[in-house]
Amino acid sequence: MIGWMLRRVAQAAVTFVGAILLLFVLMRVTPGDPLSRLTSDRGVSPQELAVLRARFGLDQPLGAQLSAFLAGVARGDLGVSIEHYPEPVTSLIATRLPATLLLGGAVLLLNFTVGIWLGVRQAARRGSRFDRWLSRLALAGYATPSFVLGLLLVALFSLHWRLLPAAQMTDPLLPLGAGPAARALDLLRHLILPVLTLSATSIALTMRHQRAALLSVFRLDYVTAARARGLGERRVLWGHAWRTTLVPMLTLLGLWLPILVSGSVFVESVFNWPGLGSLAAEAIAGRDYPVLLGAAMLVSGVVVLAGFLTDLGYALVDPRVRPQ
Amino acid sequence: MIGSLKDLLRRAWRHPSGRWGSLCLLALALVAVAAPPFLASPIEMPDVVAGATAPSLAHPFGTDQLNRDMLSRVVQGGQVSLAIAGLAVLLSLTLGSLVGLVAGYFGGWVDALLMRAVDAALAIPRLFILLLLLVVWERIPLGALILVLGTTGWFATSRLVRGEVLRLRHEPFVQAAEALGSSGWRVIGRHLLPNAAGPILVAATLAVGDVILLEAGLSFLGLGIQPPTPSWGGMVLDARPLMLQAPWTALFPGAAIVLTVFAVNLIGDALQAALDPRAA
Repeated sequence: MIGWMLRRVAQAAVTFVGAILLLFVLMRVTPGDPLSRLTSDRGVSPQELAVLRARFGLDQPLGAQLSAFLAGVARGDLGVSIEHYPEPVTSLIATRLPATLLLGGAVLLLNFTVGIWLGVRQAARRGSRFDRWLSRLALAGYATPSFVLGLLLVALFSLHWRLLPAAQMTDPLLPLGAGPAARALDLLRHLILPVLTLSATSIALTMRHQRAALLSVFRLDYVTAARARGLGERRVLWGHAWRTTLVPMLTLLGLWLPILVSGSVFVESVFNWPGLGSLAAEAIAGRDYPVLLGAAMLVSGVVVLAGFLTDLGYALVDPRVRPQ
Repeated sequence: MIGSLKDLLRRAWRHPSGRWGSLCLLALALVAVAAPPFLASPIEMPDVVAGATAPSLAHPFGTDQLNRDMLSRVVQGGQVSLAIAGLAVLLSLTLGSLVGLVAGYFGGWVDALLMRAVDAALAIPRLFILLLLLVVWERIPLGALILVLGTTGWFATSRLVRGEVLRLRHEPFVQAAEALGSSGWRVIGRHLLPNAAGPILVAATLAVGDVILLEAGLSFLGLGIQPPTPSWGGMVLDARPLMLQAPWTALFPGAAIVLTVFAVNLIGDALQAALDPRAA
């Protein structure tokens, strides 16, 4: 087991290093260098551009740029932002991270409760009208871009009915002396629409996964045996069948993350949610490639880590997967 | 082998999702291809003063902020979207199948190297790969956009195809072909590829939906299709400040995206069910 873990850690490290190299390549294969766009967008003069190039090391040969980049990454230094010069990328990301974690956490909570429960109900009533319509609804949810859904919800709930806030994380008019309860309520009100928007896609995935996992378990003998022993259907469903599906559901983590992260770019920019996603969106608007690169690197690291944890979870729970 | 593919398609067609999805997509494609000559020209005279007007008989989908006919623009956006998605998926499918077949069939260090590279690429969410590629690209031409979408979409496909090859390569008919002296490429082309066609087809169908969504998202961020070429994502971007005064400018392109991707995914669903009836 220890040997397996060490090998898996090494594999994750190789993957992450590969991803970092790939990110560097991605920045350099497009025509022009990352700063050349500034001249056309902003009217930056050639002299100023030369200064900027030197500042960001773009006047160096490619090999020197790569080694400087890798050395920076190894030190945990992701460079400085162009838009927010001289703010380091890491501190920009750090200030934006909590909001995204809150949003993502709420979405995952909704997935784990509502999504899983719906998937289980679907599998239990396979082929029923409920099952078929929910499947179609999930498919429609999966087909809806989060920016369209988000704008629609804002138009209806915020602009038209004036029920919920349209943007930001807190109400600027909240009195300074507001108690923790009032603050929490305010935050909750701001959370509702972005969480609903971001959940539409991921919950569809959770339901499908849970439904399929449960259906494949229903065929197994031990479920038949449990039924034959005269256990109630509820007991068979939750006490026997569902518990087994928890292991394959681990795989979802790897599928969710990229969807949540990509979705948050759109959802956060629609709702002006002060998280990583809107930081990325701002970086796009400002051609702030160091920030975008830093965000992509963080996300890749999380994806690699999630893959590792998924495998570890499998190995801990299911001895058959654990290689000797 | 081709027979089994035909069988797969027939079973998917019998599935109600497959039939409705195909009919819906066919209707959408037909409108996109055949309708433009009958529609009002989208840019008659940009008229900022008149601005966005509500849906009427003359303009069934209303007009946008420049008083351009929304119906024509949505239809033209559909042409662009479908063409881009089709070509990009074709490209990524070819690349993915090629890499997967080579990695799975030849194995050894070729396989190890290719799959480590694919692992690394899959660690970066595709949206971020695209953002990094496009953010410094000044007004990307359509062809380059297709190329970029196509070359960033094959990683998962190559893994899938590799898995299929590993499953098939010890089957008696493949070993028989090898024993008869068929070359590696012949075994790949004549035996492995046709037998892996089912799962590849399912993945390709779902990939079309994903690419349409991605392209719409990129255009919404201003990085995809560049105006004045109409795109659904770009139209939603234009509609954003008008959500209250002119909701139709967002509603119709938004609905077009949902409907198209929904139809494509229905087909994918039916194909999946036909491929593995027990999971449906």
